This record gives sequence, C-alpha cells and structure tokens, in this order.
Amino acid sequence: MGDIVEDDMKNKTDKELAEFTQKGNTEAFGILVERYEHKLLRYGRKFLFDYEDIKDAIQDVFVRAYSNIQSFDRTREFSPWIYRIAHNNFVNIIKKKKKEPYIFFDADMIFSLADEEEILTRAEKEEERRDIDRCLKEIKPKYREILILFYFEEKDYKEISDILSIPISTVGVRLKRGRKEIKKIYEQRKK
Amino acid sequence: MNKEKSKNSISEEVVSRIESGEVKMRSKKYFFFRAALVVGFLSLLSFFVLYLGSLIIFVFRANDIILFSGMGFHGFRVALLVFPWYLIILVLLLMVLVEFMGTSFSFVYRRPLIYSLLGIVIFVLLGSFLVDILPVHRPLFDLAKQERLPVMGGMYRHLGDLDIDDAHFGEILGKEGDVWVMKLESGDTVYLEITERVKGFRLLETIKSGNQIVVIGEREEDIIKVSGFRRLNSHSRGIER
Repeated sequence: MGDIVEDDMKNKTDKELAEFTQKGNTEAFGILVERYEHKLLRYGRKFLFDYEDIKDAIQDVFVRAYSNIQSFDRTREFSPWIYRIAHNNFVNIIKKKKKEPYIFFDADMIFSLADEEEILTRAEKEEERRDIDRCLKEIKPKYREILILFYFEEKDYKEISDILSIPISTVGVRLKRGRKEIKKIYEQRKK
Repeated sequence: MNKEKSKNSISEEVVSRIESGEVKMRSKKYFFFRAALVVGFLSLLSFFVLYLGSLIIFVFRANDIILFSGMGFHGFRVALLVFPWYLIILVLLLMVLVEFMGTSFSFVYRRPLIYSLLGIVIFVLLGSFLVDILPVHRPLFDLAKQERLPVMGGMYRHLGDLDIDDAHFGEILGKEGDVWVMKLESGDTVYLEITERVKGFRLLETIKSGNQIVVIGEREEDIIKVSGFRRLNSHSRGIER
C-alpha cells in the first residue's frame, strides 16, 4: 500500500510535489530532492569547479528551498525557482572564498536590446557543448554560468532570466560574448 | 552504484534533517508580511521622491532660478551656484534605490533596466509636477514664514528664500538723468550701471517706473553693475513675497 502511494507521488509534477510540501508532506519534498540533486550537482561542479564540498553546498540549497517553500508561487515553474536558490548559494560561496571576482551588475543589463533566442540543432548544440566543456574553467563566472545553464542544463532564455534575475536580452548578449571568449581561448590553445 | 549511493545520501540526509526538526519551514505569514513590507516601503519611498521632486520645482519657482539661466554667463553661473544640488542628488539616489528594489519583481528584471529607469524618471517628473500643482509647498512655506511650522520650518524658510549672491530683486523707482534708480527688497536704493553687454537689449527700452525686476550684477555700495536683468511677472518671487 505504502509503495503504491510512493509510486503515485513519483508520478506527480514538480509543481504538485511543491504544493504537497507546502501542505507539510516531507515525502513529496524528498522526491523533489531526488529529482534535482543530480542536475544541481552537475551545475555546481561546472560553476564551482575549483571548490570542495559541492555536496554540502547542494544540501544547503535544498535546506533553503524547504525553509522558503511557502514563497514558491504555484502559478510559475519550480525549476527556475530552485536553480535561483542554487545560483544565490553558489555566488555566496564565490564571494566568501574570493577566488575569482563575480560582477553582479553590468552595463549589458541596462542597455542590451531585445535579442531573438537562438535556435540550435541538437548536433550544433552538442558540438558547441564539447568545446565549451573543454574551456569552461578559463572563462569569467558571469559567462560561465550562462553557458552552463544554456548548454548543460538546457534552460531557455526566459528560464535563465528568472534564475539570474537579469533581462532576457542580456541572456542573449552574454551567451554570444561567452561563445566568443570560448573561441578565443580555443584558438589560443591551438597556437 | 556509487551514483545511487550519493543520490540517496543527499535526499535522505535532507529529509532526516527536516524530520528531526533541525530544518523548519517558514510560514506563509512570514512571506506575506515580507512582501507587504517591501511594497509598503516602495510606496513610501515613491511618495517621498515625489515630495522631494516637487520641492525642487518649488525652490526653482520661489527663487526664480530659471530666470537667471537666461541672463548671460553671469546669470547662468548664479543659477548653477544656487541650484538645489543636494536635493537633486538625493532624488537621483532614491530613484536608483527604487530601481534596485524593483528588480526583485520579474516584470522589472526581464526587460533591459533602461526601460524601468526611464519609467521611473517619467513617473518622478510627471508626479512632481502634479504634486507641485497641489497646495503642498506654498502653504507650508507661508506657515514657516509666520514661524508656525515646527520641524520643517527652518528648511522651508531657507529653501523658499535663498540668499543668492549677485542677484538683486526690487522695483524701478525711475530715472535720474540717464541712470535707473531701483529700490531693493531690503529697502536700499541703488543706481543701475548699464554695462556694454546689456546696452543694446530691447527689453531695456520697455522698463518703466514701478516695474518689478531682477538684476544680476556685482554691487559696489549703491551701484550695481548690471550684467543681466529680467522683468518679473505676477508668478515671480518678488510679487509673491
């Protein structure tokens, strides 16, 4: 009987599970953790490649998510909401360790004008993903994070805008600049 | 296998920390009050910015600062020196604070910040002119003049009646030979020495006895070397005072 209830829970959407958690169902939250821990571990390992204890950082993300679950708006998607918490947590870690500068505000947030979302074929995306993966460690955090979210976490512009709280057009601009930097690093390596 | 182990350990650990009571869920009320606090603070901040914006317009109007800027280089310099810069800087800083607080809302951060910044600028300009139409600052200034306004009285007395170097308000008494005689607000009578710069001005020919005017120029005892002047209309500070 218990297994049937658990299986039933596992078939629920993220939003439904979040709603159950808001009503006090811990098991529902456990399933959400299971669904997102690998994605967030991958995101954390790529973004914070130079840091130890990524697992602790991810655990902290879920603890914060549980504490703040009542602030989750059920009319919106759950994924950008949890990624936003992870982003804030990772940025705090970067700030604390001071290993690399993280710029919160940039002119491209003020002036970047509407940029159409780029549609890439699966093969194109896969090829670019391979190049990016090789050079990711050498790129600035503000470009690195957007590239990870777009190429590895498969988020669209609107989701990335919600995760990072930046304009949608800025997402496009930073993706382009990030790719340019990757190309530069790649060409320098070839020499 | 290891992957499975790690997966279980994170979710199990988080769930066990929740079940042991170590991690607690914040109540809905907490987030409701927090959101209400942010909205309330933003509204208060917006009203305060409009109050300050309309106060700047009042200072401009009450002291005829706009008139000075059209009175040659000397007049422009006087206007710049008397500009309520600290109020303008304060309004700009508060506008940045409103923008910063606004970025926590998705309808603000999803668009380039230039749009919300422009929106705030338009809101402050239009709102300030609207507040300026309402009887807000003038009655407060009148109360302050009568020493009946506590707390803000000093500020209104200072801002509504700025001490402006090289600007002289008063009334034309008449001509003594070729020289205009003017009675200043202070009660002093002075002679206006028309400099080469203003000699050709057509406005000079239309000045009559009894006209209220403002003169820009250095004063040496009872002579003012006029480098610019304007006749005051019924809205100007000389008439209103």
